[in-house]
Amino acid sequence: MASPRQPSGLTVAAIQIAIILAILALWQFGPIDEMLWSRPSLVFPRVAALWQGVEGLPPLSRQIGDTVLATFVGLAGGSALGFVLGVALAEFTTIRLTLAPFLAAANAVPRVAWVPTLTLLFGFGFITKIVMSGLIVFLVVFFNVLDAAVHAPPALLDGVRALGGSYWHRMRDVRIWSSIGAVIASLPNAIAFALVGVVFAESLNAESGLGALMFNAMQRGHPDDLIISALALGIIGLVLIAITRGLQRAFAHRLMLGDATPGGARP
Amino acid sequence: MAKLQTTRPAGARIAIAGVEKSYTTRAGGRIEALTTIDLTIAAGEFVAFVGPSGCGKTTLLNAIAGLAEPSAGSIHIGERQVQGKPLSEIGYLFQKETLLPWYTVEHNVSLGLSYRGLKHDAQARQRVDHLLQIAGLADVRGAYPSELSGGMRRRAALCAMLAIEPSVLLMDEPFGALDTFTRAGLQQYLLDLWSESRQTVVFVTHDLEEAVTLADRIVIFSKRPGRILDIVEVPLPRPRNVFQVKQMPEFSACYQQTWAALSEEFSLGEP
Repeated sequence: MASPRQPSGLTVAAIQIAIILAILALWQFGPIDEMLWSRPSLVFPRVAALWQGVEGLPPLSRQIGDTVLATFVGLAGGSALGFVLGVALAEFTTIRLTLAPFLAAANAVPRVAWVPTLTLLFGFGFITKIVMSGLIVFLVVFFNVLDAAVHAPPALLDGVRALGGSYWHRMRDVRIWSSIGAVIASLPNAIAFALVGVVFAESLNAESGLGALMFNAMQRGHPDDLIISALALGIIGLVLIAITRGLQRAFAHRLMLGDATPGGARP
Repeated sequence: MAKLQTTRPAGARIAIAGVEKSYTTRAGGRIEALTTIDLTIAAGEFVAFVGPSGCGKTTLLNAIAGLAEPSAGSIHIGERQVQGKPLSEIGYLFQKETLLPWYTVEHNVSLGLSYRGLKHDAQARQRVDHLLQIAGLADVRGAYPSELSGGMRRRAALCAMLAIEPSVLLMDEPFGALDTFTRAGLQQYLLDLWSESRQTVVFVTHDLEEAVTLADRIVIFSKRPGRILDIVEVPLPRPRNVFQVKQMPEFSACYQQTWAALSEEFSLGEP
């Protein structure tokens, strides 16, 4: 039986645009509560106003920048630390088995429960957001890397050993590369959780950022700002996911990620 | 193509004396994998190990390679005893894929050389180029393993093994996962390469035809705990063509003899 034909990119894009237009039409002209959901005709002018900075609020560009920066810095720091500690702990079985229940307990704590503690430690502001983002990313990356390093393919380890590779060669050429694959595979989840963590931290204790804008909008009863914040976060999330997917595709054939399968297209 | 200059002597003699191997189970019991193996493989000889799955032929291969320590007995490669780690004389081609997927074909083939500090050695680089050329992989030296076919990956793994100029080649069912035609091509490729440098070869297979096609002698193993049931001499001339050799009456006679030794072990009829 022939497999169903894949729709063209143009067809899919056209359907997506039609959906967006339909939603906008419903939102503008449909029977919804304007006090809760506002209207596109009110939201779009508000974007322009927020961009300049109104009512004592920082400009929208700065709000977006702060959220994105905190997410990225936390992502970079958390990934690096998670990678290094994951690879290191894989080598020390006794320490790993000893720490296992404590790590599991720490991982089970809802990330957002850390915000009050982090606020006490680092105060209100940018550092708390970065630490929150970094902590979330660290836990995601660390456990993935640890698992990949512990379960590095035995055949590859044997192959390196048979070629005369030492312990450090096996570490460099097998365990670390296996772990890099784990980092890249975990990035979409890590980014999504990091963004949530940053926004939550901002909503509680920051002067700037999309989370702070949302909290401020909720307090002042300003649905336009809430929707604008949500839309901005959605767009940021899409961009970040697209970047990580691009990274995954770039490394797929080297790290056997996603659809990369042995044998490629050659007969 | 001109023969590449090599710095290493051809093959090394392998002496296996009183080797046994057993494992302890989680329940505290013991599983005997091999029982008292005594075998001498002459320098430059091509020997095939055949036997049923689980008979210990891979275990013995790993013991020769220094990847697994025997419970008793000793193994010598030339004058050196194998003691818990691979000797530099050994080249091993595993059944499973061992090419590192994150490195290119050329990087994989050069890996053993880099572990020996020869990454930038001119003669070593020439050897890598020569191997890639005769393996038909020169055009894909910059490709990654996932971009190659199964046969090409096996050839690349073979090149990686040969690049370090081993005097002993250990191969564990290296062509088992390939189709008939690709396997025959690789068998011929192996014989042609081997005829250049005549290393000592131990080739594990469960395919009797493959054993008769390639080997000088076939060592037949029993069911677990593995012991040597019989050793069959293969009276086929060298050099061999993997297709033509199957037409010779000696091929059929040798196959029958090998089958007979195995069929007694398993109470099977004639082939």
